[in-house]
Amino acid sequence: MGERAPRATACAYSIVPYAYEGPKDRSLNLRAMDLAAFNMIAAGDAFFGLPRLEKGLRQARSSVEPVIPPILLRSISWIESVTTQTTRDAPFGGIGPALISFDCGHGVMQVTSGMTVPLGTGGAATPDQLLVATHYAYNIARGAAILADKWNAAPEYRPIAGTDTDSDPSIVENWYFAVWSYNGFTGPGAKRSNHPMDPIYGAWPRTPYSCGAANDGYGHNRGSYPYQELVWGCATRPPVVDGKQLWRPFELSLPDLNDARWRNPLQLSNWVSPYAGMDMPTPLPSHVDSTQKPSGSVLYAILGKPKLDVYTSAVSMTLRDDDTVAPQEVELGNAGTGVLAWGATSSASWLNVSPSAGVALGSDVYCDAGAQCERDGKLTLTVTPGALRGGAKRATVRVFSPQTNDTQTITVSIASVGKTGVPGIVRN
Amino acid sequence: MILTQGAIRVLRGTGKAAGAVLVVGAFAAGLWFGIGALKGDGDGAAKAGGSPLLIYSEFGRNSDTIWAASADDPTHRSKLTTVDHAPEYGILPSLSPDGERIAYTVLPSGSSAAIDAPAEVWLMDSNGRNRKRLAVDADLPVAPVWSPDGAAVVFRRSSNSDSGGRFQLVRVTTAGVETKLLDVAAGLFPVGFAPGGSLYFTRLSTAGTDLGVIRPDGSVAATVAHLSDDFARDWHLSPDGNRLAYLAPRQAGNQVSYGAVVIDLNPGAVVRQFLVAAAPSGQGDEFNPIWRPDGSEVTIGRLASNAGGGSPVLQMAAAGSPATRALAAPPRGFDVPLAWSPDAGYLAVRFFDGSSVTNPGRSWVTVIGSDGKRRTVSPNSDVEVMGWADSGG
Repeated sequence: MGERAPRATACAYSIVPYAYEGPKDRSLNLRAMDLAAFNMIAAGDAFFGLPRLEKGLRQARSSVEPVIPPILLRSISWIESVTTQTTRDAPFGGIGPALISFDCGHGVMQVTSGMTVPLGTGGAATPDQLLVATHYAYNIARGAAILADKWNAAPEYRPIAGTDTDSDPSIVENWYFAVWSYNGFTGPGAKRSNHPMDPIYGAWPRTPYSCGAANDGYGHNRGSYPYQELVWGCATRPPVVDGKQLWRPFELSLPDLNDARWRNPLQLSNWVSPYAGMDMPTPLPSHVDSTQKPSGSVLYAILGKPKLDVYTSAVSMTLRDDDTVAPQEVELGNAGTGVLAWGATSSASWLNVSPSAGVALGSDVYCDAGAQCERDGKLTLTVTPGALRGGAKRATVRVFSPQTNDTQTITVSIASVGKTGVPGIVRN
Repeated sequence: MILTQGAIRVLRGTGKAAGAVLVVGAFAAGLWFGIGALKGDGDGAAKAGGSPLLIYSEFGRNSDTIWAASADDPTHRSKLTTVDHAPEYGILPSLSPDGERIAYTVLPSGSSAAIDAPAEVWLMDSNGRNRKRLAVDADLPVAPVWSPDGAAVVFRRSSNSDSGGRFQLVRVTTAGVETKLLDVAAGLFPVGFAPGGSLYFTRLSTAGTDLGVIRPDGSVAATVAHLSDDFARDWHLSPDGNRLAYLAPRQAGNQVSYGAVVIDLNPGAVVRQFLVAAAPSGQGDEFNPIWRPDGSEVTIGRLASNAGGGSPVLQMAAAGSPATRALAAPPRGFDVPLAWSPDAGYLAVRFFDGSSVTNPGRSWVTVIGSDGKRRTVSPNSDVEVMGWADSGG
């Protein structure tokens, strides 16, 4: 956290924000996935909450309370980010740069939708974007909501899996097209084709994918598989961390490509929007995820009750003879519990805040001393060189948390020292 | 590699969708001796003399390794070089016709780990020396295809991650000079070169899979044959470049499977035939039809729907004769042929221990000798066979 934040390009943040990374066993992320799967993190929220899930045949859709099979979120998260919110340079049990991919995928679930440009006022990120980038639980909730949206894209824009099972979302195999769509409903010949018959994936058939040991006899090169086969394979052959599987192996069935009921819908001629010809029965044997709904105590343990605490309300900076101002660091903390996501904006164009988003950890949050974990957040104030020639000397920095709606203001004053006299420059 | 004496013959690998062109290369030096100098990898160096060497790449999470392994005892192998790449996404290598160089697509180490991230085309000697980037913005999943003279490779470049963009086939010389051969709004795959130097390619559309040909300078492109109304795949040109073997789907009742097809590419002689038409109702899957080095036969994998025990690889006359010969069968599961050694004494296959295409189980690359013995190449499944090297004499 001490080093300068790397620069992102053309995403929600021009400077990569900081985020919290939980323990190496991913236990916090996995628990957050169970919460998100049962719509417990932000129920009713239009951005982070799950919509009701549609079911039924193409002409007879109804909806049910939303529950996503948790195994899908677990497996997707490993494929997307090895289930981490930060870059791999960041420590487990600490704070580090948020994980942002070349196409603006953010965090654990590599959320791309809505994260490609800042959507707030004045070119700033919105509070929703802030949470996606910095807080693992909200990132996971948003990923779950996107997956639910992909499910609901059928039948208007996507095919239905489960024409013989009322397209029941509790059957994991019925999520085949939704998972395909999570990565992009891309098709024949594309470099990111997820069509299982696409010759881009080399000789037929394919060894099933595995997130397990390199010598387990299964495939591990991700470039050889359509996305949904990566997710299916990782669910069945889970990753191993420090000798322990991250979850119990979960058998899943792919469409039987020797059977016309599944193979014919995947014919090239059916690759025509809205893909009604691709509707297919539930791959067999089908499976239901029996994960129990988490208790409210789990929700509290993950989200906590954060409280923003900016340690400084006023900052004085000094304008030097060469019209530059030394950067100044400001610390802020979380007087409550859980992970507090914060954002900061400046009232003046000459006063820069970097990073403009980050996290601060409550006293209950796992913080690995070996990883030199610091619970406080830090932001650095800088003044654009030469920008104060007009005499500006006072501005404010607004620090806020979208979780709590807390806002605190830092007053920044610029004072000049020692006049050495430069003709044509007036300092007030 | 350092090549000092001897002659080498190389048969290009057929693991990916690329043309299988037999090239007899008179190496100025012997691969044996270069490999013999690369000891100390822990696996034992491949021995000089004796059986031919299988050249393959083995996937690693952050770095792939190029190996040369003895056909008689693949545990005796020599590391030729390693190539770093973005996590989880391995290289797609292609051995040059003379076996001296490797062209490959790669997401370089430090770049984004995503299949649609911009990949690069690199060239190196087979021992990893003289590495040179030939092109950027390439498509990772499409392996480069070498021109017969080894002066250029053809790679694919596409504008979008989905199927709605433009697809290009680009020829780049080993000096790095690019020529755009084709630019269309359909999925393209380079196949291999015709005897006159034109390039065969396949093109996907909702109408199915077509085979096209384009002159070396890109001046004329024409459709040669309609390969299938659906996905064709695993296409391989015969050693003389005059025939194409590939897989196309077929349906019998409720069963859909892939069957092997050979077409004659000589003008006016396009003949389509299912190689195993004599099989009952055409049932059972066939896999990866590759050519024997002399072009006389096609070798296919087959998984009969009623198979008991393991399903062997079959050799069939390319003329469509029902006469077949079966190689040594696996104890269970089935074999998919990958590449013959130059003398046809060894066949590299991928052995699957499962019982169906949908559940193929685990797999390992295995060498089958003319004595019927089966030898596992690596305990890891993630092996890409590039070709063979033989002492030639």
